[in-house]
Amino acid sequence: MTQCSTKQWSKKEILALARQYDISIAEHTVPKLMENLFLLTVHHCTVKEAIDEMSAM
Amino acid sequence: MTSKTILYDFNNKLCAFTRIFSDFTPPNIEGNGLLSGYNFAVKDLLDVEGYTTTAGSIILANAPAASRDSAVVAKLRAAGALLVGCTNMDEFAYGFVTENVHYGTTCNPHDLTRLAGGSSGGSAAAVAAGMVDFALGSDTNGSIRIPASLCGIYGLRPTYGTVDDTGCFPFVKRLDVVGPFARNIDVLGHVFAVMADKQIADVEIDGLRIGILTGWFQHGADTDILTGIDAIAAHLGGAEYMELPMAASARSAAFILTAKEGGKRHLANLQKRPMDFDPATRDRLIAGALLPAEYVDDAEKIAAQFIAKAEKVLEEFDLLIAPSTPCVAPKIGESNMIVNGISVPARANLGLYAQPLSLTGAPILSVPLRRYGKLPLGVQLIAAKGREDLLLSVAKSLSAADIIGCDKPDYFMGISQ
Repeated sequence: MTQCSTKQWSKKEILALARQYDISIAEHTVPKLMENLFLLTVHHCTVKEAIDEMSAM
Repeated sequence: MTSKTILYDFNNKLCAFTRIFSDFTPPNIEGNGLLSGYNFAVKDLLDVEGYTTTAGSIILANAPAASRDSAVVAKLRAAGALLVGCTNMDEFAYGFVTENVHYGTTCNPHDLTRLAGGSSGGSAAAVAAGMVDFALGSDTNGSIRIPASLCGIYGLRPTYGTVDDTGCFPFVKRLDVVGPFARNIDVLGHVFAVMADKQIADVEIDGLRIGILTGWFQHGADTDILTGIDAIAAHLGGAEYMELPMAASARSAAFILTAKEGGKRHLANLQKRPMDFDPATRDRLIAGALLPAEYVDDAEKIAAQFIAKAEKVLEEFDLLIAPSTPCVAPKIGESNMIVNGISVPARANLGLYAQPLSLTGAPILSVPLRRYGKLPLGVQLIAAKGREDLLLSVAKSLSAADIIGCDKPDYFMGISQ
């Protein structure tokens, strides 16, 4: 089973993604956004590991 | 019937209401409706004819007034209940705390320095303080069960789809359910019967197959709540300790699906007027909107697996028992809370035990443990779909034995009703 990586989102990545969705990000909101995206990434890792476990069974 | 003066006085302390109607003088009711003589409040995401539904946001504050009552409000009024106002909530129902930058923070009637929980915190606080006989909230990931637990009252998340949600501002459509809060289990049953157009009769509770959820559902829980669960099980004739498979990954899946659907629902306003959102809501909704499709696809897979496994467990057991929250109400303004002596983030962890269970669509009743002189704690009773009658009968038996029950907070004792 592969170990899921809980990646930190960079400011550059977030701003690029936000542009795709036509959302303007105020500078001061970036840290909270990074925190929230990181939390969601951690949750995705939990999900991914459960899928891997199911596949291995 | 609570006087208008008392409502305003209590509301100054609690910030439970966003709006108290000026014209709620009781009509000349003959007393023949099932709910005649009861007054109630609704979370400010249910349409009330003639008023704007804000969903806890200023973005909707200038929207046109609702042209008719939401389906549940219409039913409750038709049954004779008197609507006195709309209650505070986390913006767009996205939160477990009812800290709303636009409308204020709702305080817990048992300790005004603590949170009432959310997102239906205003409704729970209004009921707990005795401002109204019952109130309506909505529950997507625990937004009825969590404030019910922290405010020490009954809160029912009905079976998904049982209550008509027409006129309810949506959050995550596949999980949203409208349900009632009350201090009295009989009142809760009457209200639910009207909301769901159902006859609710008492049912036999001897010989129930009962499971106490362990693993995920006990990790980090206050020891008092685990003792309370054991007392409930003993009263009901004993229970088996068992694990609900995949609870941790189901909770994560619910977290992802909620963020994505919330982000998608509010995308137009996130693009046009992001600074009009409550910052705590906005930053989570934007994160949800930006999530890669892969996250959502994986979350869907896990949700489907978990639902299938939970349905199987609910065929084997008549009743499941789990904590509603890990601990008592956290202090207002503190980002962390203490769970079993360990400091953990409050916002994320209040929904630990409630969130995965929402995916099942099963009815869940949060009942208040009887804890004289202590801050409230609630326990979730879970049954198969459509078995609210069983949950209500179990709660009546536990209440009669004084294992569960509501205490009116000291400050509010004897002032109203």
